[in-house]
Amino acid sequence: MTLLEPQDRWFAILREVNLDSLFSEPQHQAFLSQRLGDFGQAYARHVRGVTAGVLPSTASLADILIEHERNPHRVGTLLEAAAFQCSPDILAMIWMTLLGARIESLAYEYKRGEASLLRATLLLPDGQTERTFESSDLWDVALFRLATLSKADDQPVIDDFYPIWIPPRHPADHDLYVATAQGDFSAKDVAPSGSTLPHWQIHEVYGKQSPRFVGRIDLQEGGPVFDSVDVVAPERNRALLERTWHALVRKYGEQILTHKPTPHAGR
Amino acid sequence: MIGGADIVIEYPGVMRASGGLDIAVRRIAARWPDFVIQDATAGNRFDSYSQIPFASLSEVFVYRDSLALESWKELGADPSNANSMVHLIADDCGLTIVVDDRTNPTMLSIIREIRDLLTGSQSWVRAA
Repeated sequence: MTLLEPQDRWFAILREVNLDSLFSEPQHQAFLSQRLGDFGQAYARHVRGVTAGVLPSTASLADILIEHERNPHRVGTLLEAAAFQCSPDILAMIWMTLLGARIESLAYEYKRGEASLLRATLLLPDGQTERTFESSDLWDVALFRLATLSKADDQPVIDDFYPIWIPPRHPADHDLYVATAQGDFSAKDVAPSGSTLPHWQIHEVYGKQSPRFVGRIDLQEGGPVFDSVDVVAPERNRALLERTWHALVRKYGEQILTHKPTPHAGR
Repeated sequence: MIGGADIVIEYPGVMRASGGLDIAVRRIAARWPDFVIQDATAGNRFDSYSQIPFASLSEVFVYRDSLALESWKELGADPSNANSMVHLIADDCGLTIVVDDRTNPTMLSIIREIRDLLTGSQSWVRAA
């Protein structure tokens, strides 16, 4: 089993929350397919007996795609929880919450080397039916990373779950990638094949918009030359290029950055 | 609105318009269990949370209940309707909450809670 069908659609959805690179390998795609299938079964088990119309009776892959058209952020949350390897039961609990169930209680107990126990009680949207969930799988604690927190009249409220920001990894069509305090940057060697030195194009990478072309770094005898493409604030871009260069050197070593040919594999 | 105050909350990271609206509506619904939502653009009415397709909405009115909706329809921004409706406008950068009186205790709580939810719990997450 590989990526879910239709593949293009699922890749686009995964890309929305920067999980596409995580699920680019066949074994990870197989995991996701299996986990979402198991989640669908767990959801159907927990929702059994609930009055029709209170919650959907199924959570199949097709149901998830339909919900994505209506509420894409909910599907993003579910996929992140699956990526954190939450168990099918806890995925069902998260999905029910996203669809309108209220978290009545959430308890976690941990004992080093012995126990990790998560318990949750949901009140379904009919305001009467409760469902309880329990898990001893440590990875289910990741649910707290996705929880939205607030205080209502100074009392604690965990209302919902929401996808967190996951930085994109190795954007396509780039050779090198580095995360810095100033942002995430990619580098691509665009020097002609006969060139003896690399010629780097640097892009700033964002999660919610296309990469921004920051400038070029040319290798000359005296060292790197930073060429900003911004005519309005070239100094700022030049400083970014310089910082990015040093971050790339720290991460990959000067040899990789200053010599041709650039090995593309394994970066 | 009657007078009215705009509160703009920019949200970090992966948050999008649909999610910002969802979170805000859910919080208001917790305050007003009999809430009614109206799509500010198309005028469609939603009586329950599960009906709402947030991806196709960018601006909604959340009324305290059906009576409030009817009263707004009839009287508009009349002082008798004060603080019985919250106007939400969302895009991928942030959410604008429009209320009649931001010092009203209920409105104040709603604003604080939504701000917590949109920024507080994810403040450690790097903005894109």
